[in-house]
Amino acid sequence: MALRGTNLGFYYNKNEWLFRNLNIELSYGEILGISGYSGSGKTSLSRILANYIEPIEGFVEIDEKRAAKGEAHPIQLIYQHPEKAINPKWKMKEVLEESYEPDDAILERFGIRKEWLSRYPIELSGGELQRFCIVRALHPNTKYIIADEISTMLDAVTQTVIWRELLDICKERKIGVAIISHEAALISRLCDRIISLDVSAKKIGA
Amino acid sequence: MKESKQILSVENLKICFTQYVKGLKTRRITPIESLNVSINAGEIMAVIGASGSGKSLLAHAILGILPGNALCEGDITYCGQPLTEEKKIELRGKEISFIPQSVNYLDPLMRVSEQVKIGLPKKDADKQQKELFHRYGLKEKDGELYPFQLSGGMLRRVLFATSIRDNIKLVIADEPTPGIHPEALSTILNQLRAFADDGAAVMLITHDIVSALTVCDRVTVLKDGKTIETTMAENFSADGRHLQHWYSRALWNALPQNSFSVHEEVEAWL
Repeated sequence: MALRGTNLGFYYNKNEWLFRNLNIELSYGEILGISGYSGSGKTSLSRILANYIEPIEGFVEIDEKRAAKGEAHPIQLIYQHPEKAINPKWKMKEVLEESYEPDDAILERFGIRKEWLSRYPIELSGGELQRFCIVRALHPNTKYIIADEISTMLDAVTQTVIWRELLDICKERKIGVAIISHEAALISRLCDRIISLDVSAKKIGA
Repeated sequence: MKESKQILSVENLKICFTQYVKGLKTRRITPIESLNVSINAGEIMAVIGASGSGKSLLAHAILGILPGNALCEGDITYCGQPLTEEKKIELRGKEISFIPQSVNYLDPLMRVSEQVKIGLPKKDADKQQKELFHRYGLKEKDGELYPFQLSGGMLRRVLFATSIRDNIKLVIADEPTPGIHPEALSTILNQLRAFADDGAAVMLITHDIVSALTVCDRVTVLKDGKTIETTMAENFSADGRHLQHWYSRALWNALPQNSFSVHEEVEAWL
């Protein structure tokens, strides 16, 4: 049971490959780290894995049946910039409950205060917004989470607590998590296995 | 010895927002209650604290770019003079330089090279912009791209390049480093150090304590809109026993480089 990317290749400008012949596999309940330099294609790879964009070469497959229109996708992507992933004209309650209704227990685990629900996104800090993005990604249908630099806007204490809660939930529900980050110390603390985009990029050159 | 001339001093800063609840009924929230921070010439002051503790608001208050429903009290002094709203407008972008937190501050419809040229002297704007790109490891042809075509880390470097001007006396960097790989990171930190060594005062707002410590002189810790501690950078070492406040110690110990753990008492507060 796994999310599998086979022979992935991607570029923005023709023939300037960000990466090519990249194989990646994420199984149920596994925590995989993806590291790499800025501009090495980490975010593009995460968007490909989450089916937001099509790779130029290769394909992504999962064992589950494809999500029907209107259903939550089994692969959920959490973005680097929460302020870009949230509709600025919705109050936070609508943002949170767009796809399902999270219970109070999970809000508490991520430290989301009730008073934030009636605010607009602009009235919350980046770290506060990111908690909403994490909770809404934990839909009951979610099988894989792609976390693209999701904790850079958090202070160290919050970062520690949020990763612990998120990974605990993912282990309970056997969700596979791909953690994309350039922070080596963080990745080595959190992940079972780490792949580096820089190394695979070099292989292409060889 | 470094010069000790005070460039910026913020005393008892209080910021509150008026919100409309229903119809004409309003309510007030006070995210910043009492902030104190002062920075001398030639000094880098790191400002750290929980997310939502008012770090960005502090920066925006100094620059005079708070939203219209904000009310700001307290004394902000710049080079010995009160920093009034008119002064802020006059000085920002000239003597006071700002590196915003969100890459959303870039114009999505403008090529990034053009955005870096804003405010540079017309004559050699082209040349300076190319030099800046080179210094921060951006390719010349990246300048032709629009913000959506660049990665998060590259956008950071573009934002940083927009802040480099002559005659800067005060630099306010609001989390300039997330998403940047180690080499570009040290370029940026060294640039901040160079600002300070040239006599500017630098406020480095950040979560990345470890990187900040490599260049900063002092650290101010914020929590719930209050200054809880200002301390020398070297006190952030070992198990943090030289730090006064328990929250400063908690921040330090929670780093993945340190014990990556949070005490139960700290969590009760969360």
